[in-house]
Amino acid sequence: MKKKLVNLTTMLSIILALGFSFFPASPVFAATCTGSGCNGVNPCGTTCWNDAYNASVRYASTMYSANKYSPGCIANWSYARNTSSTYLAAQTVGVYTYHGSQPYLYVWNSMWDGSGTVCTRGYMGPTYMNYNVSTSNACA
Amino acid sequence: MKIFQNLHKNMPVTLAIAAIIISAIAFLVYGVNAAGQNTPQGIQGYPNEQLSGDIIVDFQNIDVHSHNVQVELCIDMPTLDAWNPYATLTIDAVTVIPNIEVTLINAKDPEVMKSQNRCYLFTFPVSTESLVTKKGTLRLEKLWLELGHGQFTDEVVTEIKARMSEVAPGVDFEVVSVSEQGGGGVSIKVISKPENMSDNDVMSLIQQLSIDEIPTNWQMEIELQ
Repeated sequence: MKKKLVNLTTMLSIILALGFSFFPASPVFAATCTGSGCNGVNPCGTTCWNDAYNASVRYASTMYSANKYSPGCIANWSYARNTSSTYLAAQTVGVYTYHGSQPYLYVWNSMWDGSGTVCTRGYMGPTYMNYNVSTSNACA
Repeated sequence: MKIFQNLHKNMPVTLAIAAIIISAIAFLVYGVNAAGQNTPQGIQGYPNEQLSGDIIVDFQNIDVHSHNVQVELCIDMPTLDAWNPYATLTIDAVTVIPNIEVTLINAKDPEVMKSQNRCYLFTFPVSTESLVTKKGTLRLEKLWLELGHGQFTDEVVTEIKARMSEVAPGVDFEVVSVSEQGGGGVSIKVISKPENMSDNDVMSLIQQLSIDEIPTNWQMEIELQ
């Protein structure tokens, strides 16, 4: 009886070991990029947006702007959102700005290395690149 | 003629008065414009009735500057999700100043979102030097949560449509997402709506339904000096 149990345990261990070697950790959990490797990468469709949160939020008129941070990717990006569609821009200060070319409900820009402090801000206006509302810098 | 002579005699005083009046007008105009552009509306969301608004809040610190008041609060969030707090500061029981800035403290600490207890720095734009009463009421008005971390994914759109069918039957819409080099944006194409609703009403409602909201009832009196 005891021998049978030992054999069963050994067999199970071998099956489990083989199983893990054939099916390694799911790539779902691997970050699309990390740190400076995320510079210029659009967060849409990446794993970075899946664990992102608002590290800092700024309000201006009917708009809010968030400094989004992904701990898995160690990257920040800018996100600006209004209550209705309008011309919006999302800026990573000193790096780049995405200007929505049409009225949008929300816009975002590409990611930037989050290992240091990154400041973002949002803009809103009646026409393309003509902004009359902006938030202060949101740094994180 | 006498008036002009007097004006001439008192030119420095006249100029000084004129300068004060012009400065006052400029200040008022600037102040009104600044208030108009930076009046935070707060986030309007969809009430989450499954979670309680009895939130535990721990007051940490207050810094009174000449042009703003900064308050640090630690909040026990109802879940581990990425909730955002929204607070106001009421002065003289009348003037309500919403926060214009909210920053998660130690935002990049890998452990920060693993705990429901998170600390935030709130900034309220108020010129404290001109205040007669140096007392205020600090209120945590609500917690809000972007569905899909702020993305209109298929799951989020399905949820918004389910909520829409409850609050405004007859509204149908399409989400158009543009993702390109440098960033992207999302727009809404309204397919159908009741006659009494404008496209802007529909968009405002979509924005509202894409956010969970928990009204809270925490408040405390603070000294502004």
